[in-house]
Amino acid sequence: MLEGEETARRIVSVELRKTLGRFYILWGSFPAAANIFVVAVATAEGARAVLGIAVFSMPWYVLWFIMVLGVYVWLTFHIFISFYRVVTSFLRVKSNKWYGVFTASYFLLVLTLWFVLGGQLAVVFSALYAVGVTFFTYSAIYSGFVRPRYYDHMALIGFLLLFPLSFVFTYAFQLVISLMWIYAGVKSLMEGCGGG
Amino acid sequence: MLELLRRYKLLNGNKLGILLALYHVEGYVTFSDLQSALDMPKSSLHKFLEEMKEMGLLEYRRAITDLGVRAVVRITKRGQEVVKEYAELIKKVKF
Repeated sequence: MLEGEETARRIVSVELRKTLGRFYILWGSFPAAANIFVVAVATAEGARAVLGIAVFSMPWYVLWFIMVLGVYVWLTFHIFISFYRVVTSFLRVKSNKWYGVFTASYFLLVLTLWFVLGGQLAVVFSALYAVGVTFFTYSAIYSGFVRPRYYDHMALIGFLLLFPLSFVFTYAFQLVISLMWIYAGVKSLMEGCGGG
Repeated sequence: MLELLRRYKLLNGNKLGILLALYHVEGYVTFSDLQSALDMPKSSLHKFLEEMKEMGLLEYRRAITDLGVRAVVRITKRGQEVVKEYAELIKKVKF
């Protein structure tokens, strides 16, 4: 029976590494998905200047951003459901029953405050958000089912440092984060498929 | 518990492990992923999966995946019920 559980852990660890890969690729693509609308707004502003027709405005961008964020959060929930089921099951190595509730509450609080209190405190809230992402992803990695890899550290520590700094210096840091996350995602999927 | 495992021919650790893992993983798992995780010969794994399919515990078939046509497995309703029963028995043993 113990041999059976050990076998199950080996299979689950391969699947969870692929889960992490999907998570990295998903959020690596977020800045591009969120900012497509900025490009559309800029184009429309150009059209308005020439033709005098208002197509888009900033409230539309906020609506788009919230929609994209909603889709990404829903997909993240869907992706991490396996992780949640494993860490709360009898296969668990370390018990973490309140993981899901605590994670959801933390992000809901930080994102709500960020939206309400606005852009002047963006550095503070982006730092809190980055700490949350890093902490919760590391806690999933160190749940005992997957082995931490250099690309996990690169993606998460890179995010922790560069995301808040992107609100101080340049948004180009978010492009760097995207590339690091997509790299970590591809490496994770390759490892999960036995080619890493 | 032994009675449950004997009834479904799950006394083999690998077979029990496959069933437990599939219960926790959402959706299909490819044959090659199972093989790389278990590091066992293809023929033995195929035999295990066929036996478990005959017991109604798994769905085992070829399907179109991102990587092309692959053999895939997924746990069935009956398989899920067996794992739930096993988990209940394990809880009683562990606590």
